[in-house]
Formats: sequence, structure tokens, C-alpha cells
Amino acid sequence: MGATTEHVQGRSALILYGTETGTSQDFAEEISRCLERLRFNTDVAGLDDVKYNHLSAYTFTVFVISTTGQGDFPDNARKFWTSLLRKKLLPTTLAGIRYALVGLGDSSYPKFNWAARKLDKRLRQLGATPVIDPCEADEQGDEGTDGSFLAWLDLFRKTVLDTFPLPEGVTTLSNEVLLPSKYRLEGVLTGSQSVETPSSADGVDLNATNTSANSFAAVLEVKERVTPSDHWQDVRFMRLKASGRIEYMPGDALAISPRNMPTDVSFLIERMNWHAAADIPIRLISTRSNKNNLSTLHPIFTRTDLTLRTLLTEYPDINAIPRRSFFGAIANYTSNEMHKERLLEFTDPQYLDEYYDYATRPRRSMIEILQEFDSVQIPWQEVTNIFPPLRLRQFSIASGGALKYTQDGRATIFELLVAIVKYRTVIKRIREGVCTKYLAQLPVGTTLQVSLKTEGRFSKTSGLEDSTHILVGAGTGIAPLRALIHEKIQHGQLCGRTALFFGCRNEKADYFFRDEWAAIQQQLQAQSQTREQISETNATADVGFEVIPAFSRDHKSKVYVQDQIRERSDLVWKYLRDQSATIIVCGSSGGMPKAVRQAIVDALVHQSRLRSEAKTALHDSATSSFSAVNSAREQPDDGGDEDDEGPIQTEADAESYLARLEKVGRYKQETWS
Amino acid sequence: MSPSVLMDLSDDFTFPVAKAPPSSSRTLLLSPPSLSSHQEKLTAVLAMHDRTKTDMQMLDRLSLGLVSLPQSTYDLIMILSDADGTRRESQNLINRDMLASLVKALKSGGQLRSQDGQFGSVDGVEKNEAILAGLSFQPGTGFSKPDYGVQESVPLKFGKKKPAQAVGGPNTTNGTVPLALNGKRKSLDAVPEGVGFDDGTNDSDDELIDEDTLLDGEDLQRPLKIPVECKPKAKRRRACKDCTCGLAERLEAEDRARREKADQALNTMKLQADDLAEVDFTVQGKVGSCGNCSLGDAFRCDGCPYIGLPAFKPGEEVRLLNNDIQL
Repeated sequence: MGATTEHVQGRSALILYGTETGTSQDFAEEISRCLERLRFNTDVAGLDDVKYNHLSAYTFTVFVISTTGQGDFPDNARKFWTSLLRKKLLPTTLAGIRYALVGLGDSSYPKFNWAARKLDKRLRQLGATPVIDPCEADEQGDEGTDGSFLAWLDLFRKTVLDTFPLPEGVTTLSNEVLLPSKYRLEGVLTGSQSVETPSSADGVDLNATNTSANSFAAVLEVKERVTPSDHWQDVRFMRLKASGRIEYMPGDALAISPRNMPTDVSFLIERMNWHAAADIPIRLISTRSNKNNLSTLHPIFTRTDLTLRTLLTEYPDINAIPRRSFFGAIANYTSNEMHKERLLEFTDPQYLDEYYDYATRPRRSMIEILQEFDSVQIPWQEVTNIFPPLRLRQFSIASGGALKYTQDGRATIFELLVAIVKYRTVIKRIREGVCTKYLAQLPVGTTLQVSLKTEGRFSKTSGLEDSTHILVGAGTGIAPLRALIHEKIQHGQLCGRTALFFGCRNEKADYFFRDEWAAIQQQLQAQSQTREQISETNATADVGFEVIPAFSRDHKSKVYVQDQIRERSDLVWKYLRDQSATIIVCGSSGGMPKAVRQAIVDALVHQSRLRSEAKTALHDSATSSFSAVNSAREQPDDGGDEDDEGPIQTEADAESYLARLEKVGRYKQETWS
Repeated sequence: MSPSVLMDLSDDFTFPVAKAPPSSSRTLLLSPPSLSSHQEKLTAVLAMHDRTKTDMQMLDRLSLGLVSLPQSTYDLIMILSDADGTRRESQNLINRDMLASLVKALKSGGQLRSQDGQFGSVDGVEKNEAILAGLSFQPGTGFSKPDYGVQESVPLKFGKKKPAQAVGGPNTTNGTVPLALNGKRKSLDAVPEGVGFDDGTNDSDDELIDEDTLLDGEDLQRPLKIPVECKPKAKRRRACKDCTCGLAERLEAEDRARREKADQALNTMKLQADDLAEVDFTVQGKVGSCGNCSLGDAFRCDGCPYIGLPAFKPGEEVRLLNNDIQL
């Protein structure tokens, strides 16, 4: 194969991806294959694995980047992006750099493809020149991001061939030619002197997605189901303990890497006839002579005792829903013409529908596909090239304040509230979330490698605990809010008033932490009564912590958090306008966050109307209605607030008011799908 | 008679403003068409303003688009009264578009007023339109353009600073301490290529540009870049991750119905084969006439009773215990 797949000297491309879910990485690999066929020597790496001065070593660079959150860069691209944002960079810093850009986004979000657009703008500001117009792949497109990406890729291929023509006599590689893998596994001969584990200097292409440098060991201490066994959803409360004192704050998440089930691993070994190689030491090697040192090595490849079985357990996501490229990859390893033809059909952009119907819609896993296409025989040496790596899953930490450390302060506690993901599709076997399935079967006492993720932290500065909060949570979205509530309790007192709107299905089934809220309220009340006895004032029931639940399945008419927010418009107004409260909304994305926002708008408009009516009444009969107004509004100096925050009369006023709150960090949303 | 009274009023209004800011303060007078035939009134108004710092435009010409106003230029825009002392003409001419262009012509903090001082002074259309156009109203002072200066200046500053830095050296006129430092460092580090002198990771304390200012309105409203080949052609097959339009539910219902139908067909077969909840595929008629059932979902036809079950070898028993298929 050597001669036929050789690159042309001096033709090289760097393909960089920024990804959260792996789509960008997959696209980057596809671009790499496309360019290899145009005789380019390509390197694929995560954005944070390179520095911008690496770019000049290549003919051109392709960026593939998705947008997450509020127009933000993905986790593995932030370091690179920050390095480009420095003010002291010159308009010539990237002069001579040529690039192409693929942005992946979802146009149903207001900040569609912002990461890509910002990157594009910045690259041009710094003197880089585009080779081709950027691709803006839209998840909302008829064929998802695939549709526009594939159309762009075709255009890109032609443009690259025009811009960088092949030398006389050299042709492109047809799709039939199998491209050699950049890395593969090989057995380590026992007793051989040449046993050396690859270091990152060997330029290993696999990213440290499983275990990051800052990972640490934690022992699972508690794992209990908190929903009744007849409830549709299995939700587990988990407590992990790590030695030492690890600082974390409300909004932080714990990242856990799942492992594959031993039964799945055995099935794969059986199915592929890998028995002979399953338990001998193996290592990963680069197949190329010119190595780069762009990427960081996945920690698993530094293990000297690595076997195929260990690798299959901890590294590849064999239960992942395959991307199109998977079908193309495994088609190389069957001699059954019917199978091969069908597999290639799934990779054909023309038949995207078939791919969706077969793989995506029923959530069919790679391992199930390999069961079905039983003529496919993957060489074990190619495992890392066929399967994507298992990705870390993040879980919001539910513990805060006094719950964070053991009594002696020598160990850190992390509490999680995990909904075990299970659902049905047209496939008879029940679908299960890879990570939650792994966690659900984990015996208490198991040690896990975890890492702390602080991107979602509610406040980067201290003092968040002191302010007034309106918290809105649905389902397991309560987790980070619970962390905050506990963080706010100091010396038996609550710092800053807190109202919690919590939505779930049934009071009896999934009203998480109900008893805990009651206990906290009692404790606070006891405290305040003691204080009030001393100061001999009238005791009131108000302890500054109110929980307002909404049960959607307990009544004939469904009650949601947004209904409760409208119901309690007085509280919303008082907290926001008089006490500068911060709103935090947590739970699944989709309808809930939008409905909550609308409810807050409605609540504000409603209250403003009531208040202006009351004010007019006050003017009309100054003395008689004074008490009524006073009770409607406890803070008399409302005029001052309105100057700060602007009057709210219409829905538009309320919306722009919330937009302003968002800008100053007083309206936060932490949602996931 | 009345015009002179009005003149007095505007006098009071304009003078402090015209004098207070330093020499650069510019004023724009907007004249209704009727004034042009009353030269004496026009002259009287103009006499009260420093000619070198005052421009005048005819409202009707502006509204026809015959002239355009420079951006962010004026500290004060004043709408002159009609020849008869009212503002009937100007009120008709100053529509939403015109207001928008007037606001653009104002400097940040600049004011928009009428000669009679009554512009937008009572709640109503005029006031609302002015606020809609982006002006803020303060009783006593009237309408002014809010100062967005801080936000707008960042990208501009950035562009200007760089050449200064590139020239580099401590001698650059740009005198602030951090800048001088930056400039100095640059002159030490800079290589002609501009690439490769600095990997961007060792200066974590460096000042960063605010990424939120990178994109301007134009960037944000830019339509999606969709290659021509990719115009919608296929029917929409997939629901978004957090679908709210109902497609996800519809697809789910479709799948459920399909699953149930297959289960029913399967159950009929199971009972016919034997009661052990096993399917014996050696039994005649248990494999569809298409012959593809055993190959798996990738080859099965629509409505196949085996849909969702693993592939099997014809003649092999597949256990369907507890509705859970062993792979």
C-alpha cells in the first residue's frame, strides 16, 4: 500500500476541532480523510492541544468548532481561544496562515454558531486568510449538521484542488483505496527489550477525554434509589468521598468516565475472534515516520500492563450510536458483498434518511450493528480507529456548605442526584444511558476516577451566597440548587433570602429532598426564635427560606413551576426589585427554561400594574388607603429602585429587564438535555 | 408677535448647552419648509448660533433622502418651529425612519429638542417614538442619546493600538504604564514574521479583548451560510434534542405503534410455535417470504414482525425470555 497512499512533499494540513459531544471531532476526521485522498499529510488534534504558532508549519489549517452554552467555545478549545484574545497580538500575528472553518450549531439558539463566527473574525483580525467561505452546519437543518457539512465538504475538496493543485502526474486517491491508519495497536512481546510505552512525543492522536490531568480517586460510599420502585424513573442519590480537601462551589460538576460492561466486552471479543489477543500486553504505536507532538496521550496508553480486554473496558464507546463514518470504516472489513453494499449505503449522503432510520432514531449501538453485520471482522489492532473514545459525563454536584467535607475536614464529599437513563425505541431491548447504567450497577465501595468541572459555577467570585435568590429547579435539576442552599447556611443561619420553586411529577414519588427542606426550615425557625426572644420582637414564621413545589401529576390540572411563579408574582417582584435577587434556573432544557422566563415576565408586569394602581389610589385618598399600599409593598423607597433598574410597564420592559439581569449575571440558566 | 416669545424661550435653552461644552460642540438646526420663505425668521434663528459650529438642513429634503447626515456628529439637534410658530410641519415630516437617522447623527450624550422646548414633553406618540428610536428622556433636560461609549470603543481601540505597539519601544507616545510595558515586551519578542514568537500560553496575565465585542450587529444578523446544494429536499426526519414542536412525540408514538404491532405479530407466532416463549425458526413459515428477516433490521422490510430483534441464523432458536433479548 505504501507507494499508492504516499503524500506529496510539502502538502500538509492541520485539522483542529473543538467539541463537546464528538461531532466536531468526527467531522475533523472526515476532513482529514478527504485531504489524505488529495495527498495531504494531515494531523488531527483538539484545539487545546496546539498553540497558534503551530499553524505556520502547515499548508493550511481547518477549524471545526461547535458552539455550546451561550455562544461559548467547547471545553477543549477554550485555552486556544483565550490565547488568541490577547490584546497585544498584532494584525500580522497570523499573517500567511490560511484556513478553512466549519461551525456546528443549532439555529434554534439565539447565539447560533457564535464560537465559529468569533473565531473567524478574530483569525482575520490577526491576518489569517480564509481558503473558502466558512461552513455553518445547523442542527436544525433537514439533515442535521450532516447536510450542510457534506455539501460544504464537496465544495471544499474542489477549492483545495484548485488552490493547491497536485503536481504533474500525481492523482488523487479514490474512495476504494483504504487509507492507512495513523495509529494502531500491537502486541508487546514478553521479554522483548523494545518495550517502551509511547509518550506524547510520539504524537498520539487520542485525546485525554477520559482522565484529565486533574482527576482524582473517589470512593462510592452511598448509592440509594430515592424514587419508589413503581415510579417510572429510577433516580439515585450517590455520595462519593475523596481524600484531602478539594475546594468546590455551587454549580460545579463532577465528571465521571463510564466503563463498558464485562458482558459487552466479552461479546465483542467473542464476535471478533479476538480471544488469542485479549489478555496479552499491547501498546499503541504510530505508523508514520514523521511524527508530530501535537496531541496529548490518553492516559490508558501509558499503562505498561495494558491488555485488549482492559482497553475495551475503559477506552472505546462500543455502545455509542455510530456516526456515518463508522459504517464506512467497518465496510472495509467484510467480504460479504451484500453487507458491504448496505454499509456503504448508510455512509452515502443520498441515503441520510436510511442512516437516521437505522441508527439514530432507534438509538442503535455499534455493538448491536456488529451483531447484525456478522461478516465484519475488525482486526484488533484497529480498535482505536474504529470506535470513538468513551466521553466523560458530567453530573451537577448536589452538596454544598457543611456537606462538602467530613467532620474532621480531611476528606471531601461529593453528593450527586442521578437519574438512570432508560427508554424504549423500536428496538426491543431497552436503551440505557452508558454512564448512568454503569453508575447504577456500581457496588458501594468502588473507587472511581473523577474530575471537577467548574465551568458551570454559579459565581466566579465569592459573595454569591450572601445575596437573595429565586431558585427554579425541575426534577434532578434540583442538585446544584441544593448545593447552593447548603452553601448559604452558615452558622445555622441562611445568608440572603431564598425562594425555591421546585417542579416534579408527584409529591410522593420525586419531590427530592422534601424532608431536608422541612428540617432546614425548622432549624432556621428555632434559630430565629432564639434571637427574637432576646430582642423581644414579635416572632414571625418567615425564616427567609421558602419552598414552593409544583406537582404536575398530582392534580387534575397539571401544575408546573411556571404556574407557581405567576401565582407568587408578589414574591418575585419583591425579591427582584427590592432585594436585587439572582435567579437561577436548573433542569432539562427545552420548554421549561422558556416557560419559566415567560412566567417571570408575566409576574413582573402583573405586579407593576397592581402597584401603579395602588399608587394612584394612594394619591386619590392619601390617608385611607395608606395601610393597604404599605402591606402590598414592604419597602417604602421603591422610587429609588426604579431609577436603578428601569420602570417595568410592558412585557417588553420586563423582557429587557431580564436581559439586563442576564448581562450582569443575575439571571442564570443551567440546563441540559 | 408670538415668534419672538418663542425665540426667547429657545434662547434660554440653547445658550447654556452651546457654551458649556468646549469648542468642538456642534449643533444641527432642522428647518421646516415654511421657514425658507420667511428669510427674516431664519436669519434671526441663525444669528443666535455660532455659524462655524452650526449646520442647518431642511426637513423636507432630509425626509426625501436628498441629503444624509454624518454619524455621531452633533451635540444638539434642534427642530425649528414652523413659520406660524407651531410644529405641525415638522411633526408630519419626522417619522420613525427620520428619527432613527437623527439619533445616529447625534453624539453619545447629545440632545434632541425642538425650538419651542415642547418636543415629546407630554406622553404620547412623539415621546414614544423618540424612546423607540433609542433616546432616553429625562424631565428637565429632554431627550438625549445614551452613552454606549465604553462598549463601542473596545474594538476600535484595539485596531488603533496595534500599530502603535508594532512601532514599539518605550518612546511611543501612548503613555500609560501597561501599554508601555506591552510595547517594550513586544519589541523584544517580535520577529519579523509575526508568527511563532509567542505561543500564547505563558502570559496568562495579559489583557484580553472582550470576545463579546468581536461580533457587531451585522455579524449577528448575518443569514445562515448554506451551500446551494443543500437546500431543503428531504422530509424532516429528526426531532431536535430538546424538541418542543411535537415532532419528537409524534416519532415516538409512531415507533411505539410499530413496536406494538411487531410484538403482536411476534406473540401470535410464539404461541403457535410452542409455549416456551421461544421461536423456532426451523418451523416453516416463520421466516418471511422476503427471506430477509434473519438478516437484521438493516435488511428487514417495513412491518416485519422481527423488527427490533437481533439478527439470527435461520434454523437457530432465539430466546425471547422476559422480553429481553440476549445479544
